[in-house]
Amino acid sequence: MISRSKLRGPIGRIGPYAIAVFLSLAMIESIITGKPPYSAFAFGCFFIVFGIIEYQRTKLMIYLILGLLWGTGTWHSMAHYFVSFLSLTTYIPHVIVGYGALFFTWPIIYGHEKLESNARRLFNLAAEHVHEALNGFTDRPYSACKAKYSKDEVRGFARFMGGQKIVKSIIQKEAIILAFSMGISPLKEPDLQQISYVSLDNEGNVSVHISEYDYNRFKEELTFDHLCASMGDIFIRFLEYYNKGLESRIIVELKSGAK
Amino acid sequence: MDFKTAAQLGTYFAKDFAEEIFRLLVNYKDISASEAASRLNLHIQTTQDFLEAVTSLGILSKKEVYEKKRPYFRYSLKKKKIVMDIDLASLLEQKQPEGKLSKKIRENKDSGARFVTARYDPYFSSVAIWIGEGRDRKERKIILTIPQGKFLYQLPFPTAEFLTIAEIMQKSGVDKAHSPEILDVVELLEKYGVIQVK
Repeated sequence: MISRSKLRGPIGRIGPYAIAVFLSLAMIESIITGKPPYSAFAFGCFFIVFGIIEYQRTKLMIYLILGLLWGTGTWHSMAHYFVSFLSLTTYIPHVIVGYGALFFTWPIIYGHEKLESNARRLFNLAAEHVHEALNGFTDRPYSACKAKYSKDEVRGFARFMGGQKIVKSIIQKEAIILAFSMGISPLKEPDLQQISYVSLDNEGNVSVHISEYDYNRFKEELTFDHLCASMGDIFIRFLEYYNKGLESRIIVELKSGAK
Repeated sequence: MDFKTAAQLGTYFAKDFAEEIFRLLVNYKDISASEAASRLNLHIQTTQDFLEAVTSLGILSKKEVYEKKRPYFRYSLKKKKIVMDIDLASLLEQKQPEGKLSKKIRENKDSGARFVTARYDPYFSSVAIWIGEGRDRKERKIILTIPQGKFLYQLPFPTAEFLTIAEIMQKSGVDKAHSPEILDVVELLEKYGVIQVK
């Protein structure tokens, strides 16, 4: 089923377009002037600004480091035209450090991107059944329902969801927290108030918390209690699939929604 | 004795000269403010105010007398034993509790209140409210009891259907014995615009 997303597009989507634009500009500038200093400068600025924006959003330091390394690396590539002591000899170590940083932090970046993409899928799934837009946002957790599950079942479910990078599982003595976010990365293990989560406690109480940032990513101000209830239903349904050994259905259903 | 009278009495009894004045009142048949002030080396106005206040509480009686043509009061003890008996049960806010429990409520839209969860348990430990405007804006934090925290956890969202206080108490598993403290927090949050009443 292909449905239209109710969410605003992720900022990361502009990356490939921006690279294509700057490369085109660099080619045009090279054809006209013989070298592309202005395009390279703008391209470097783009990497740095993008790194800062992504850091502010996700709070993952690696985005800032990569943005600075790649931004200054792009400037560095043109520096030998203007600065005598910077040359290909200094540029190559810079590139190695830049790509080395990407290589060593890839598990974090991949983990975050996968979590964010799955969070978008979860929100889109939840929003599919919400047709009213009356807002009503509150940062209180929503008491979704009382479900029947055993401690072992819910722990297994949390491990599965965490392993598939659908959520970040936080297993506590009293409750299981399944955290997801389109803003601050759950990998940072921030204050739970700042991210969205579904909590399943040992008494069977299911609570849903949707953060203000995530709620504001919707194009419409969807009726908040309906959205929370819908999110709670999704997790209860996924838990039932897991208990029946139908884990693949979780993935299929998750991928069926708009991205 | 009601709480207000007891509080006033306590305030006057706490004065460091109170015991000395009462000693005079017990030993003298009656005494004027000027006589007591001169005896205890106090200002006459201080003594006068004290005697008037204690008289208004019904512990002293005063009689207007004349010295030549100038009138003044002489104070005497009405009783030599003062018993402070306060019934704290009278403070219990259970006037028509059934009526109050049927009040329909939900969270107010854009209330601005910040509810803090008690770790991972399904109840709130506190609620923070912003009071005032501009630079005078201050945060007021209300620490909740466990029944209050459980009750507020089940409070309907701003766009959800209104529920009666009794229904929310039942949903949150809060016993009726906690009604007064629930009504107290509801009234407070209603006053600060966090709770909307239908």
